[in-house]
Amino acid sequence: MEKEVLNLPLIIGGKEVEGEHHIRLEYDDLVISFPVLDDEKRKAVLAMDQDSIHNLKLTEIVSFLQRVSWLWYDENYPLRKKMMEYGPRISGQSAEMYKHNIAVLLQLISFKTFMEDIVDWELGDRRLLDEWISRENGEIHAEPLGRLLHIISGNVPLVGFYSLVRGLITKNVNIIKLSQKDFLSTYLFVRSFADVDPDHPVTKAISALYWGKDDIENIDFFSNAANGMIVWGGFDTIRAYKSRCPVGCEFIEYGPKKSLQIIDYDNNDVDQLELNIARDVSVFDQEACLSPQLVLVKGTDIKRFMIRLMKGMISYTKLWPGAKHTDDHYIHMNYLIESHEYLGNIAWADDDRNWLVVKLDDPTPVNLDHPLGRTIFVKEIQDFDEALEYIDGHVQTVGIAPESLKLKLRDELTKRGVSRIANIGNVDMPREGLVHEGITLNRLVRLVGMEKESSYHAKSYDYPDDYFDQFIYWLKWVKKGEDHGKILRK
Amino acid sequence: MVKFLENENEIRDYTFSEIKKSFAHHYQSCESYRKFCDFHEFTPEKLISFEDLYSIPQIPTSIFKSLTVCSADKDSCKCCTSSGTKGAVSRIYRDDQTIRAFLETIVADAGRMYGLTKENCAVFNLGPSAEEAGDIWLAYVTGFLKYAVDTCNYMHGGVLETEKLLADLKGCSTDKRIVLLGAPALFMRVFSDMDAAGVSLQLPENTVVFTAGGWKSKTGAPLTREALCGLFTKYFGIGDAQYFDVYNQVESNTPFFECRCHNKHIPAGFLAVVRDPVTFEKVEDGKEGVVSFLDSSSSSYPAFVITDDIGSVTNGCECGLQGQVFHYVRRVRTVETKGCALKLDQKMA
Repeated sequence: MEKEVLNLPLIIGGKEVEGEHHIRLEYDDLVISFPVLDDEKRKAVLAMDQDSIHNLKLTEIVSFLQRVSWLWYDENYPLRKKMMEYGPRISGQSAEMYKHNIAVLLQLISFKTFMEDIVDWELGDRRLLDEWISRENGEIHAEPLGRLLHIISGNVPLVGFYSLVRGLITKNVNIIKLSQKDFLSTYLFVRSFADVDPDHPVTKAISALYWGKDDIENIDFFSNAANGMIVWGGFDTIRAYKSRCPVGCEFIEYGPKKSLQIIDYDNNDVDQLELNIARDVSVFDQEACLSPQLVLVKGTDIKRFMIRLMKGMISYTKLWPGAKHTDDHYIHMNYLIESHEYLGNIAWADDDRNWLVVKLDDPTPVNLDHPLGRTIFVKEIQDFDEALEYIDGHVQTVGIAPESLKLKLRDELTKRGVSRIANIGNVDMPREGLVHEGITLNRLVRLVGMEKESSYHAKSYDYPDDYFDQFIYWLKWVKKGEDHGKILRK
Repeated sequence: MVKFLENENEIRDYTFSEIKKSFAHHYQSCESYRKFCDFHEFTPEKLISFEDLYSIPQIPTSIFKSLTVCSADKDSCKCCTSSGTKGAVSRIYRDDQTIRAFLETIVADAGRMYGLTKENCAVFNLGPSAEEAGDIWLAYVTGFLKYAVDTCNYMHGGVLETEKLLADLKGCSTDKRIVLLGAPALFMRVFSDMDAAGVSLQLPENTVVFTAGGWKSKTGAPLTREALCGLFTKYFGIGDAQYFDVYNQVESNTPFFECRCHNKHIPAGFLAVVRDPVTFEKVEDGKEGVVSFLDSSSSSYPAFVITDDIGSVTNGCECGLQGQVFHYVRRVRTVETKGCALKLDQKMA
């Protein structure tokens, strides 16, 4: 059967740009044909206007993003319909999971105040982006880094949305390198900006491009052109770009990280705990860094816990059907099942291998990687110190229940490298005030300052009377015959 | 035991009876395997008809990397390992009887399929001798050939002696058939040396070349049969009809040799079962899936294994041989980066 070909233009500075030569990205029943970058196009990307977005007020940017959200609310919006139709065919994720990703995007950009609050939490004061703010004996201001290069991973559509929105609200221009695995989500999001206003400075501050992982020419070119690089991905991707990050360029890495949960089952007071765990495992089909892969549970009725967890996995599979994976993925899951059964561990899965729960009684390693795809290991622990053995700098999010246990464990966890202690059941959306991976918007701006005149003293310190006699700070022109120096601060 | 039989019914009956015997033995003698079978509620009494063979519990290769799985006195066995360069390796414990069974299959196939006998051939093995091979299975077992036929090994201390190989090939007496044997990667090294030296040979028409082992080049890129065959022609003057690949892995005790149609034949007493990736149920002949097998030729470990390979089986061949024919497709990929998610450490899961 002939595959459907989707011809897509590049987006450079918000404009659709066709090309003579195309790269073909092959999927099961679809081909994406996308223009190849040449010198002229690369120059056009670098020529994106940095001043226009810089000169916008934050409120104008978030207003614009809010108007984008109105489009995406509408189920009949053509680009949303396109994402729902083609997204699953490209990434294998279910349409329902795309719908959920859009829902989280809308949470992020629907409320102007929410975006402004994010800036407040992370920069300390939203006015920094628009104004020079008096602080002590000076005025400070946040300047965008300039040109950001976003390397988007294809595991979760939200990655591209989140990365771009943060680049925009800090007034940067953004070069997006799309992922082959989930090409369309970020691409269509970017294209929708032109439907709000094709000439808006926000629209014109984005280019959506593609190059392969072995395309050293483009990797080098755009790395060298970036003032900041935001790279989402595994070891190889991070290493590839980190090694090319120019001196003076900010390098921000998201991943590779893993997550887990710790449960004090006997003291649990939330009836739907197991259902909430199943939600955290199922969301994004467990392909996010914040998705738990292991549950460490202490309690007397683990059997009840396991049964209810499985019921939860079944329920969430109905809400968010499992992704369509490669044969290798399912074989991997079956290897795990057989291997653990050989060890005497019990493994439960549905017939279609949409999920897998393994109770680890025999800890012998089976020499197989975690397959993700809603595979959760449950390990019974005798005390919570045992849980700490599983924590290192690679662990990002730890979901804990009940509340009292969070307080008890938080210092030990964060000391070991954990960046977020989460409530069970909403791992996909950190609560207001927190920030993913602990990476704040500070990293996307430069804090600049201007001193007020020397006589201005909103702040001064009381030095000992003879301090400047001992430590001479400045010299001063003096009349002939007088001693040099010994100029005091006041 | 395994052997080639000519009648389809005979093959079926023999395979069933040999595997049934073998299963009963391993169920009795290997404790961890027995527990696994008990978990699956499968005992020797359940083996009543040929179709029941498909339900025999099979061990994934990962278990051989984690546990000692042995049905004999472990101390009296040779520990054979896979040549895997990444991560843990499989450890298979073979007693004398099991190794002998493997070698007997080689000798029988070599005679029946290629007309090779102890007297009429000289083996040029690119690998090391059995003594130098250590525990690595394919190198070890091919190193054993010197006890059966006139064999010279060209790997010493990890160094491939291409110059000596070429000199020996040139000076080989014409009354013996040349048998060249090695892993595809080793042949690639020979060709690289020959290319550098600007040398090529025209070996006699009755020369036979066997490859066995992984199909990866030095850079990790997969090699194709066609590409390798082209190089055999270029450097040795050998055509496709003189080149045969052999399929084996450390967990299997039976090699599959290619016939003149370049199909890999499975002897009676061995059953390849191709399974669906999702359900792990047996798929119909000709359909691709995960390759698993039931090999009755091992007495020291249960050779009832789910492999890391994708392939298919068919029945019969134009060459006239009856029984299963194996078609290798590729290895299963279980190591894949998925975005920013770091997969849980193997030791934790």
